[in-house]
Amino acid sequence: MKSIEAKEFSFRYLHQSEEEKALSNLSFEVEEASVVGIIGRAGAGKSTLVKSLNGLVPKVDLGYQEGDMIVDGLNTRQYDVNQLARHVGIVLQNPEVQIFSLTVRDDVAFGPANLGLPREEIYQRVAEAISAAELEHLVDRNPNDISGGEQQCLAIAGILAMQPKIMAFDEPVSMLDPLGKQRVMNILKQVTRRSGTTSITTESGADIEAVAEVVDRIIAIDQGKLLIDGDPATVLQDDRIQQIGVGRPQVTELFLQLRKRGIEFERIPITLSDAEKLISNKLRQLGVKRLMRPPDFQLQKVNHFGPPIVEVENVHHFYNPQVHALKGVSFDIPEGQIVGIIGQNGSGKTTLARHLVGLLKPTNKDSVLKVKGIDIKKLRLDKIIRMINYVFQNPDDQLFAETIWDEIAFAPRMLDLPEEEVKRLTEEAMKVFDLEPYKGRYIFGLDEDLKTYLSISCILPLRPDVLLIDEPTTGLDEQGEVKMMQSLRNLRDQMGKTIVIITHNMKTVGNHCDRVLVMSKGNLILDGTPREVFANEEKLLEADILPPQITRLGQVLSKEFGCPKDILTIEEMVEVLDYSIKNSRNGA
Amino acid sequence: MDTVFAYRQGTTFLHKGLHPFTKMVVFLVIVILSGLWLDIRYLLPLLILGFVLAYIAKAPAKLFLFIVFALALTWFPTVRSTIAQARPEYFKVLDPEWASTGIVTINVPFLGLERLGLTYGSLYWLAGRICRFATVVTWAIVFLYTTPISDIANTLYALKVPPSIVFVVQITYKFIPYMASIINQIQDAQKLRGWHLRTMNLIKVFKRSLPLANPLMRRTAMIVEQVTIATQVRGFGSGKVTPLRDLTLSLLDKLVIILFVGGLIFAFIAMALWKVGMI
Repeated sequence: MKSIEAKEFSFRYLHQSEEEKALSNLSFEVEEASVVGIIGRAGAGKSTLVKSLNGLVPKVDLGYQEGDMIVDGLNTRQYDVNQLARHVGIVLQNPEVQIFSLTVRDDVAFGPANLGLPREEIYQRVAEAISAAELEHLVDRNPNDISGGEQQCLAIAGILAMQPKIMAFDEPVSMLDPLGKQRVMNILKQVTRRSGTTSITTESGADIEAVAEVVDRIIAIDQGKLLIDGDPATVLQDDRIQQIGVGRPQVTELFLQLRKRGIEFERIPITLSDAEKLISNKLRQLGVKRLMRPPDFQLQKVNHFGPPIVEVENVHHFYNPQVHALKGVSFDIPEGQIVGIIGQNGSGKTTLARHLVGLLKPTNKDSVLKVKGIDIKKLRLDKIIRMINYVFQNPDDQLFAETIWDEIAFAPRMLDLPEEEVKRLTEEAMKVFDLEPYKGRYIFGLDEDLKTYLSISCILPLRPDVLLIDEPTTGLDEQGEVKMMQSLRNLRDQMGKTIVIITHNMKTVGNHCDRVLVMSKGNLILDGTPREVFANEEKLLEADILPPQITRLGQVLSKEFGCPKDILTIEEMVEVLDYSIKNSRNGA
Repeated sequence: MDTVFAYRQGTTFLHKGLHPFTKMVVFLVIVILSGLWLDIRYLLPLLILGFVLAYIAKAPAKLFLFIVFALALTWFPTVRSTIAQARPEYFKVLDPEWASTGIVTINVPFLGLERLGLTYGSLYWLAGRICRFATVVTWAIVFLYTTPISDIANTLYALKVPPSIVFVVQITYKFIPYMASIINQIQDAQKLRGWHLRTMNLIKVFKRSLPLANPLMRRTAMIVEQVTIATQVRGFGSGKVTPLRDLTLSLLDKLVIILFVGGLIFAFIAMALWKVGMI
């Protein structure tokens, strides 16, 4: 039976012209009890499509609709959003805005209570939804006090309790740490299987691996148009997926590269477990006993860094007597290093970053916080920000001016520099991310990648030696992520900056960082190169961190084939498999 | 970030022993009495009782800094009103002669102001006003510190208060800390770009408020949109809402309500007949 039918469905927002529709002539059908992934780059129309499923588009987000969207047999044109809420539930990206009550139990009950159901039925639904979302241990807790992953599970439970036939998830894991992502996606999968609900989930690329684990069909859209529609393996192998910047799971890319080397498998996998099975079978068939790197494989480009530019020793921070956010953190960062700080939500990453730029002070007196050898605890903020600066995750927190030029010129103007100097510094900053062509563009309506580049460019005129950047790749597609990290590398190589990024994206860390600091519950629990850190599975689990998929593949293959546990890139894994297979064929 | 007046889980009698409805009634009675009375001799016992209950509820002492903070913010209207109480005819209960005894007074022979300044009466009035304010804040702390907003909301639903009004209360309370954290975040983000407000030039002050105002408006609009969507998909506004809890009162609840409502009625009568609470 059809759960969703889009019939030549088009939509444009009030501010859009006929030519720039958010969704254009979409026609597809979704069978009941299936899990469909809608993929496409940021701005492709995924969220608009999700909102069209329960009439939010065009009834709340106003605009012009053509064609029809039929959900659970109802034409969305003919029903109000709150009537459709019984049939279609939507889970948004940000869990914080979806939680309204002060206990987990009450929040799950919010939806059924709004439907005016008898209290006994509400309690029953709440119990079932809480159990399905695995929140039993949190029922009486305040939702503000639980982790981001748990909050998103709560948002899911809140929708589940309304028992809709269709559940739509709009990038549900993009704000979560790796284990939070895994937990949410597992729940999504279980719920669909158990209750026969149809699930739709959107993804722009960074979490394509998590999505590939649960979907049984993928629809790729680009610029509001349907690009590819099919089973996940076929869609994810299609080169157009790379072209639209979404990217593939690392294991899929690995098998495609192995194919180019003449190593064929019965199919191209999209999940880690399938990849492991296929490789293990192949290795057993070929009699490969051990996976190893080629002898001439260069493990790491040797980088020579300068003397310590940031010195942190025994930093504690108490927000109140109960919340010990930093527990004696100590480390140095040498000049010119690219450092990734990772850890679960609430582990102390942001608190640490705020200390490094003087927005917070340690609560103990015997701590050391030095930048370029200068004690920043005693320094005024306007001095600190010219040595070390911090770009927040959400560019919308700082962008305010009319044009890109004015935005970048703001910092030097605040320093009361002569207009000539302001102009020179602004132009210099614009060059770093190639923003000159956009200098007259209005801030409103900028694409996500431009906003991120702009927010970093805004602090460059202050000429800090150390840049701390919170989630520089969030909201970017795969190509955008590579471009961003390359630009940061250029900042280091050409301008001598030291770069510290805070991220949940383990691929970014594995591919681009020289060093990783792992935070867990206010402690620095691991400090080393990405190879050293990602090889330490036990400690990473303590911090709710999962290494990149390719590293995890190496780790599962290590049990039978002794594969190195610290493989960081697809290219490296290709070399390992290629070399080991050829080596066994040669009888070595 | 926490709100100043946020509920904290606890096991005290005030947390667990009384129905939210009873606590709402008690708080309402105190607010009315504090508004009614201006005589510190009557207000002070209410304030002391409030402090005792706050102590029982284990409310942190720092919450009471809010009283000082709010008084400091309202110093101008307070001083203005105080110095305007210098005339004897303003006092109905206190001896007018004593009340109008001047400490520092001046005569202003225009705008009908006549006599301004500090008298014994105006100081008595000031003490009453401060006590009134402190009493309301103290009881508000006790009420909000011991009663979850979800219980308040459910009680309001059970009292047939329109869902839209209850939801506004609930959502305001829920999003105060969230919005406060966003404001802090925006301010910090701009400080890191060298932003500051240190200038006496009013035009510059206005211009320099834009880096805070613009992102805040944009973020607020986004949050409002997302909350609207989130509430709609949770069926809000689809009709009758089922209250999650009953309005079943224990004997103790009933006794407390009778005591406070009875006290309020008596206070009205006493004020009408004997000017109790007036100065």
